[in-house]
Amino acid sequence: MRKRLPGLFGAVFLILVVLVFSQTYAPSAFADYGSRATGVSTQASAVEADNAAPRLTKDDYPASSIVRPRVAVWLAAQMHLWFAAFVLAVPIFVVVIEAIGIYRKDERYDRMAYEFIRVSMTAYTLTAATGVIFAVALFAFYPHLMKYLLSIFKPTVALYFIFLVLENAALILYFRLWKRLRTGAGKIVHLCIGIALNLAGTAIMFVANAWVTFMMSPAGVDLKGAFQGDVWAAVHNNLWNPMNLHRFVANIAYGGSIVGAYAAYRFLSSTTEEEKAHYDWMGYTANLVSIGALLPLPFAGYWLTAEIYAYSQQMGITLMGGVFAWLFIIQAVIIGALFLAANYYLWCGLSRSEGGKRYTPYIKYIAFMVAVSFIVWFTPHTLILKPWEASALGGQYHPYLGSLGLMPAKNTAVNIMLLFTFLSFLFYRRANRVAVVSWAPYGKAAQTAIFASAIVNIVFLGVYYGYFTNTVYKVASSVPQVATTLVAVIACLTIEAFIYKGAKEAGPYRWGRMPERSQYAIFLITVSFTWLMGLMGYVRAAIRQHWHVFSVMRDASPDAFTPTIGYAANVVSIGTIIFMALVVFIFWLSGRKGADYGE
Amino acid sequence: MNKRFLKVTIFSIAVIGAYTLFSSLYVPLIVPEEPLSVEAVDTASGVEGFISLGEKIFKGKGACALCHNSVGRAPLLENIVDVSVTRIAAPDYHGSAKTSVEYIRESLASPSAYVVPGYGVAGDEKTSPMPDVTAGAIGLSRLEVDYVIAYLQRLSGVDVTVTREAGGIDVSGAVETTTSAEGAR
Repeated sequence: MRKRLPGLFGAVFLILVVLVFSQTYAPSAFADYGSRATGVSTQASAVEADNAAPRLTKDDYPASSIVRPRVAVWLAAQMHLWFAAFVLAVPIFVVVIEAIGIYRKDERYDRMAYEFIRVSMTAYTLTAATGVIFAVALFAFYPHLMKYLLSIFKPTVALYFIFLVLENAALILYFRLWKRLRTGAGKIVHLCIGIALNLAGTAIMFVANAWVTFMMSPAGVDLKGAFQGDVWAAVHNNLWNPMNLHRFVANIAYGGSIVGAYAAYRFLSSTTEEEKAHYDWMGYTANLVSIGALLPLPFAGYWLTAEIYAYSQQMGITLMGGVFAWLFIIQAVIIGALFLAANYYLWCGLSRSEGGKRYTPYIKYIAFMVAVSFIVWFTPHTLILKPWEASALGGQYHPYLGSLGLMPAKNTAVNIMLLFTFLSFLFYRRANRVAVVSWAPYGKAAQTAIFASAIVNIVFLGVYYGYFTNTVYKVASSVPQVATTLVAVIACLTIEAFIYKGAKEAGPYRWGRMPERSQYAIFLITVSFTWLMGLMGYVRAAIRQHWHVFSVMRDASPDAFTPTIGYAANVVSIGTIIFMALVVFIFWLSGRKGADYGE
Repeated sequence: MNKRFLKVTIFSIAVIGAYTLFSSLYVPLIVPEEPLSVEAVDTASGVEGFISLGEKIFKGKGACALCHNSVGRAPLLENIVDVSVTRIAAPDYHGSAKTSVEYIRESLASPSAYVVPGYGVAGDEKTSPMPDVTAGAIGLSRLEVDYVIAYLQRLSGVDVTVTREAGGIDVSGAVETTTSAEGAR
């Protein structure tokens, strides 16, 4: 099977190239709508009308009696994005792990990295296959939109395929040469190939992000959507960089969670202590990467949202204060579940060493704080009430709990949740260590002071900005709150490194000594990540409302209405089930022969 | 092996199911408004039709109600006709409106002509965060702006003077002139 993969991948890739380019250069496939688009009759305007965004009617959209066009495109896009995230994320993870292995001279890392690039090979094929399905669906159901986008982004399509070829060449070399370039300078060359693979993959994502963000914040076009000739301006639109950063960080977190799920699955299937130990360690490392990347993700999301507001306040308010406001309650629930699962996994990890018992009494307090923060985070601000309920409540907001629905309260809760998750991690790190430096108690006292001060500051900022300033300044608390959290984390970690320098071990560390239920926490993280990605994909596209390209090209199809959150949740759930089934299939396929590392 | 596979599958589906049920049952069903079509707007006639469509645009296509509400992101507009007189006379005002209708029309196209204290963008009290609603994503037509003005007049409790019968012209006695913003358009 593995020997056939590159061939299969190549065939799918070729079909994709032919399809996209045949559509790009086939004018007969599209109607000439230039002059109809704007209705201008002067000669000067006619030039502009040629490349203005078309004004469509319902008749311009091919109908289908088999599938709902929007749902078909939606599911195909989401499936492709999940797999794309998989194959972009896992190589980042793999290269980082390989580098750690070289640095620490620990072959376990190298084995894990190899195991995972092997798993990714099947995922690459599925990414290409879903990409073809997505492209076909788009050209079939939205030909005029694709024609318009290609009229602007044609040069970047070529760039996309160049990066795709480079990525595949690097991938094949990276995988095939793993055993041959295993030692000495060869290993460094191999690592460089891995870095090239990631650079090409990330470049592909950046190009695709330009198309997506152009649809949200078009640039390089006039008010009628007429392209002004500067492709870079269209690429470098307001949301391009924030989206690049957000997706890059999210991919690392997602890659870690996928590797974690694989490790958890193999842990549960392990029959020997040695296997259990290996997959337990793999699961822990993957989770560390995943949660580590999850911590800065809200801040990347904050930048993206701020840029959405800066580009169009209407779009920003639709996102956070309009019909989608409740979506962020769902997001809060899922991220809360992610944090609870991550904490729970760390608490279970205390059982790996005898020294972990010292910290188990503190778990209940951390659990309490995480749970309280979780509850505050998903407290809604505006309640949808029946008239008699509103009358009994005395208004649309709850007299006491209503204030917890404001953004400053939520920012406060998130930061406190982050800090207590960090505390769980700190306890886990200390579990098997005994400090030998004489000033250790003072160092721990300093850490406690920093931690407590950070919480006091975060609460103060939230209360002050949230309830004693004008509405427009309410979100101003978020930046200093985030800065406080980051300073506290970095300061505590720095002190920690010095306290435990040359520390003794409290006892033998037993990888694999984890209860089975801990592995379900990892599954919870992976499934939640996947579902959340689908949900956020929905809102990112939906805030354009009835626009294909916001403000310049209107969606006139029968599906132009914005679907409700409940409907979107159903579509996302169906997509998640299909995707997870395919992921399990990939795991099963790669596990059939077991790990062949070193054979 | 099969038993574990089954347990993992059931667990994953249960998690997905829980999220789906939460989103469908706990979260209130809010059906987003369909965008107003141009044809629907053109059919308005009579004062009440004007006002009714103005309200629809105010709460829908115009996106006005997203900010002009009790949350306080932008000033309430319940008495906009009355306060417009004071604002036109204010030293900070640098528009060219002479009447309340002109003021409202100007505010929709050039929101920074006068910024109510406390409602400017962060760090710049002279710039309004409100977009020009006659262009860009909102893109209200001249007629749609008339509908909104009629609705705001009704909201302020004064006579509605902007109607189709009046050709979308303020007939309150003042002579309406094209504002600089409209001229620029």
